[in-house]
Amino acid sequence: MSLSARERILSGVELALGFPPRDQTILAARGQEHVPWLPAEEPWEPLQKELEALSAVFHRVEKKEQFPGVLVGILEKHGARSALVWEHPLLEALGVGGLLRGAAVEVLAPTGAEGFVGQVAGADLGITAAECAIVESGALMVRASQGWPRAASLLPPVHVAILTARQRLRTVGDLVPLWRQWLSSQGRLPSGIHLITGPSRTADIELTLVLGAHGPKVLHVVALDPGAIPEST
Amino acid sequence: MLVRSLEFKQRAQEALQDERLQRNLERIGVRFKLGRDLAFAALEDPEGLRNLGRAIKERSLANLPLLLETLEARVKEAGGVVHWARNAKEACTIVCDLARERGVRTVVKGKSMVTEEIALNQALQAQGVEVWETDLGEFIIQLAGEPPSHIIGPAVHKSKDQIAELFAEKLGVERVEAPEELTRIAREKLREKFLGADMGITGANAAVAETGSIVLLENEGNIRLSVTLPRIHVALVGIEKVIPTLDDLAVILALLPRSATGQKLSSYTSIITGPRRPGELDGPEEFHLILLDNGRSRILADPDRRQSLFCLRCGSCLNVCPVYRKVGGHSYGWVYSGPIGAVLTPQLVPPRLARDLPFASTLCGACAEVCPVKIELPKLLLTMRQRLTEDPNFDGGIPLMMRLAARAHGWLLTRPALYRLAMDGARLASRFLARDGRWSWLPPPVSRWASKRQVPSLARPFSRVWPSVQRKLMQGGDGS
Repeated sequence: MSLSARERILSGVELALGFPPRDQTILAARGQEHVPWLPAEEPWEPLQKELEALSAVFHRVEKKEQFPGVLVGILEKHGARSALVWEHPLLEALGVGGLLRGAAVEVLAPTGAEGFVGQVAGADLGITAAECAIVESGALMVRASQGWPRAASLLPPVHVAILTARQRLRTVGDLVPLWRQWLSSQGRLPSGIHLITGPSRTADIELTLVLGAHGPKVLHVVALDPGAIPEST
Repeated sequence: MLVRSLEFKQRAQEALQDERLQRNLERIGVRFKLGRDLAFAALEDPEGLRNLGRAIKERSLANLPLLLETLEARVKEAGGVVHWARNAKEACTIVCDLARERGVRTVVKGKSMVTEEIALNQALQAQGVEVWETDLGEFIIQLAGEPPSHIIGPAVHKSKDQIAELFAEKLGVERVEAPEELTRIAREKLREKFLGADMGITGANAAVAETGSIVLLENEGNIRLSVTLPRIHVALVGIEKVIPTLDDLAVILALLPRSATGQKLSSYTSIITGPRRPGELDGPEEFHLILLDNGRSRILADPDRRQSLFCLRCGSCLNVCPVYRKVGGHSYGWVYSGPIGAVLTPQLVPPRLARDLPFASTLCGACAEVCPVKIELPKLLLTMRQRLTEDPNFDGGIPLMMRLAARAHGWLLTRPALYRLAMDGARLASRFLARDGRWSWLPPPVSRWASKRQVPSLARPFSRVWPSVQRKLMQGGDGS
């Protein structure tokens, strides 16, 4: 049935359009090839302004020594006892795991995909490393990969995203060359790309804004100045 | 979904008399409409962006066969399965079969107009599957047993006290009215369901042929949960949703959230390409894409109506429509309401079942002013009116009374002397039958038309007033 439905729909569409030629040029990439990263020295204020307008919490880290204090401050504020943390080079270089254990926060280490959700469903906090931020809208982009579960930015009530000053783009259109780089290096896009613009929200009851509808109620963005980025990354 | 559009006049009448509904509808103008206007005003070149959006949809539809084939190939390369459904029945059968074969007991759903269109929930429930709408607005109307009344805010017609009652009755919780509390109750109830669900069902705001991706916009996170936790993800997508490339997607992402809610971006934009990859800890093991026609290729075939398919489902035409804002979404009697609903419904259901809808418009043009892809809605409304009255394929046929009245009017218009005489007669009659410049009585069949209107009495035609005006002007008077 499926095959015949396919043929019938496609031939119906062909007929409706008068058998258009297959114009491959419409599938060609347009626009620039290189990713227009903002210079790492650019001020944070425009991004901070957007994030705060979205009710996200912005933390600027100027020097390496300040990072532990910022992270531990977030953990304490929410009384976090367990966290789902990405296995990510930036987070490792920042010593996130050690800081969590030092603050008596259990780092959930899933044993594998089997039963994963059950193991992490109760996490108080999720920690991820953002691919980049979009300054114009305050969006953060994360992607799914090995060791980078989607649940970390979604299931716990609090999401902490770490971002460096080198990872900023101006508009959503500037993402396209970055997506294309992934496309050409991997042959396809990551299975899940997510733009996260502030905490989860709804206005479905009397158009009144409520945060934390189904996803995190709180979003912390920890922004690393060039001086706070570990050398190894 | 059952089409109840023939009840439009009656339900619109009821809506107008429902004071609570009228109050609830008033909110739309403030939050949605204003938000959209501010977001567009902040853009450097809003017109340019809208033109670009329209051009993308035009180009996409003109090259639809290539785009659909490319999309299918890319989805397969990414490990997904592509199904094709010509109509609601086929689409429901595909999902129901999948659910049966894979032992699915619980389904969580993201908000999707297409699944409303094909009445998927009822089909799944009929074979014993538990289905949960997880968007807060959809959850509310699912509990109430109602269809959505707005594309973006499905429960916008309800006030918090109505929702509080509903939750207390259906969920057995204590009655609370604060939106924060009601949201928390829904979150807790549905989190349970997310954690236990076997299948997540969503629509898509766009599908990108270049990469085989589907794109999902939302604010709550319920769609992300639906495509992260269950082992199967099924996406139902109308064939008109496919766009060529990521460049085109960037334009849609700039337009859609601004139009829908006045946001620069929705809280969550997800670009999903196939199921989870080896080594990934979460995400669905299976990804199924169902490409649905359900009347769309028929619309495509008519160049005058093709632009109906440009619609991004942002809801902005509803928010500005003076008719929608008074009669509400349910009056339209099917899935889509407002100007776009008045245009789409008679094209997607048997036309005679929705014949009143294109006439439920003042043709003021506010909808065309805000449409992010510049659909010429007033023109489409006129096209649909014409088709519905003249085209036998649309069950065309005018009621006898209207046909006779129109013919009589036409006959009169071609006889100037007689016409003038008739008008003089009517003017004379209005001296006795009009009060304060309005007719107080009119003979049938005009009386039916006049029952919902204040019909002004006839003024003297300007051609007869003109000579005296002209005389005064010639005398060089100052007009006083």
